[in-house]
This record gives sequence, structure tokens and C-alpha cells, in this order.
Amino acid sequence: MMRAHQPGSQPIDVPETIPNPAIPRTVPNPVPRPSEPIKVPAPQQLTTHLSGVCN
Amino acid sequence: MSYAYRSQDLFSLLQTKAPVTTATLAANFRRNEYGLLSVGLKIHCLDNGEKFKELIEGLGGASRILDVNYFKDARASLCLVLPPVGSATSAIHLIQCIEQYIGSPVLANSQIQLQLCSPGRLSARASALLGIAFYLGSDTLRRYTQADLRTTFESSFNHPRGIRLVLYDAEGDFDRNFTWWNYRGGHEPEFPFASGRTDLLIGPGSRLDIENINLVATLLVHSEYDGYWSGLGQEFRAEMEVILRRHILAGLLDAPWVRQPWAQFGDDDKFFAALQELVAYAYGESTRVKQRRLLQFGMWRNVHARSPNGILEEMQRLLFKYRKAIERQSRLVAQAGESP
Repeated sequence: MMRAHQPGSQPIDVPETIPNPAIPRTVPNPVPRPSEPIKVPAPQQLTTHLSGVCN
Repeated sequence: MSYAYRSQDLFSLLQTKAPVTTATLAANFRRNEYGLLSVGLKIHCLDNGEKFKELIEGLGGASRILDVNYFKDARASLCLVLPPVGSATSAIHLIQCIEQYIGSPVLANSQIQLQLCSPGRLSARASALLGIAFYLGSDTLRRYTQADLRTTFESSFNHPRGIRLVLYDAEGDFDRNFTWWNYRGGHEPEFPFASGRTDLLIGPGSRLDIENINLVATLLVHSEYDGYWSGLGQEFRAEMEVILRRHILAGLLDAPWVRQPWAQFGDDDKFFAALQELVAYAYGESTRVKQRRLLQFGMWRNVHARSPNGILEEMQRLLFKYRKAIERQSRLVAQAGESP
């Protein structure tokens, strides 16, 4: 950013670069958010389960 | 333009991280589009260049790849010369492959200055038109300091290039084996000139910059070397000069935009004054467009400029008109069966 100032006038900031107003800005497509990880139920201890049924 | 490696070696390397884009590029990289010129690229890296380390090592190491070239941006840690490709599309693909390989953007990156190389040395006046068309046609309006344009060849004994936006080559290696459309539309296997380039230091560049420079350089080079687009090139020059006259900027064309062998003391400053005048006019135009929008809508709206007289819009229309003319006419050439 460059500050341009002349006596008797308001100083203005001149940026390094500005977009060319003659070129329409294209809005980029939103980046798809990663899907939520699928929750996999923790494997059950088969022996415990079976033993529970038996009891 | 010296690059001490084979294109195939570069593609093999890029394929490891960008397989799809590299495959497309490798299949088409010398293919010509619409009779436009080939495109060369140099990447000047202003930071420490760490991102390019793996790529450079893969190509044979800095001593083999970088140190053979003395030319670079005066502030750059390295200048990577890429092999020339047949079209702007392939040049953009090549940059995309490199972006994927290094995992960092090359386009629109303030730490990377791009140099775009076009075959054929343009006259002083055509070089001025090329520089002005690039600036006004870019999607970004830039301010420059002379430091932005200093290279290691600024005061070279054999090939002094001064402090300029437009640079001639230093008579190094030149690949002329790209398709050239002659004045009858016939496709020659090589350029009509054995050497010579006109380059532009575009700074942080964009896809549009590459496409625009390729288009304008083609029109200008064909107009000076009697190529197929010579007629369109002459019309383009005339229309651009009318635009500059209408905006009281015709005097910019008399500035030394490229350093000629007969350059005089103070020419660097004369050129830079002309560039600053162009930059100030374009920035002023941008402000006027914003003010018009405010007046028109009573509040800020993010719509593009619709001024019938603004130089920025006129430049866009001119580039669009000639791009479409070339695309349309090149289809007729293909349909007429004049392709080899």
C-alpha cells in the first residue's frame, strides 16, 4: 500500500494491486465440505453377548 | 531459452503427483491452437525457493538446471526455465501440474514473478502495444516500482535489457519447431525466423494474462513476419492506436518499452514514466467506474463496468473481438482442408 498525499488534500492509500473492474468477477463454486465420517458401532464381544443370552 | 533437461523428464516427474493433468499435457504439449504462437515460461521465485527444491533435484539439481542461466529477476532466489509449449492452454496445464507437484500456487502468487516468452522479436512500437495491451487487459491492475523490473541483465555487457516490462531474448537456445501458419494459411513446421523472442515480465500472473499475451503477441508477430494473421494484426494495431489516441495516451507508444541496441541514457526512466502514466490512468478509470456505480445504484453493487468509453472495457472488447475472429477464421481454414 502506498500513501499519496498532497498539501491541502486528504491523503489516499493506493493499493499495490486492484481488480480490473472491466472483468466480471466469477464467484468460485463453494468447496464441498467433507461428509461426516460414518460412525461404525464398536464390535461387540461375541463371547460376552452369547454368555449374556445364556444367562 | 536454456533448460538443461528434457520435457519428457519433467513430465515423468510431474506425473507422480499430477497424473491426470500431466497425461493430458504430455499428449498435446506441442499442439498448436488456432494458429497462435507457442508459449515459453520462466518462473522467478522471490522467496527462498524451498517449494521448488524437490522438483529441481528431480530434474538434475540446481547446478545443472538453474546455474546454467545467468538471467533472473534481480530479487529472485531462482529462475526456473520451462520448456516451450504449443499453446496458452498447454502453458496453463503445465503451471497447474507444477502447482500440484509443489503443493503451492504459482499463478496469482506474490512470491512468484512469471515471465511469458513469445517467439519473434517485435519492433519497438509493437512491443509498446504488447505491454500496454497486457496491462489494460489483465484481471489485475498493478502498481510497479523499478525494482519490480530489474533483472540480472539490466546492465549486461553483451545483452543489456534495461529496466523494462518487455524484454528481448539474449540470443540463447531457440526452439523454432512449432507450427507456423503462413500468409496463405498453410501450416509450416517451423517459425520463419531462426531466433528471437519478445518476453513480458508479468509479475504474479493469471490464466487470463497468459491467454491475452499469447493472443496479442500472435497478432503483432504475424503482422511483422507476414503470417496468416497479418491482416487481423494490422487491424488490431490500428484499433488499439485509435483507443490510445481517444484517451490521449498515444504518446505512450513513443516511450522505449523495450531496450533497443541504440538505447540512450535515461531511457529506463522515460519508459518508467510512461508506465506510471498508464498505471495512473487505469487506476483513475477504476475509481471512475466505482463512482459511476455509486451514482447509478445509490449504493455499492458488485457488478462489472458498463461504461461505453472506459479504456479498460474497450480493451476487453478489443481482445474479445479478435479472439473470436481468430477462432472463427481458423475453423474456416480447417474446413477448407488446408491443414497438412
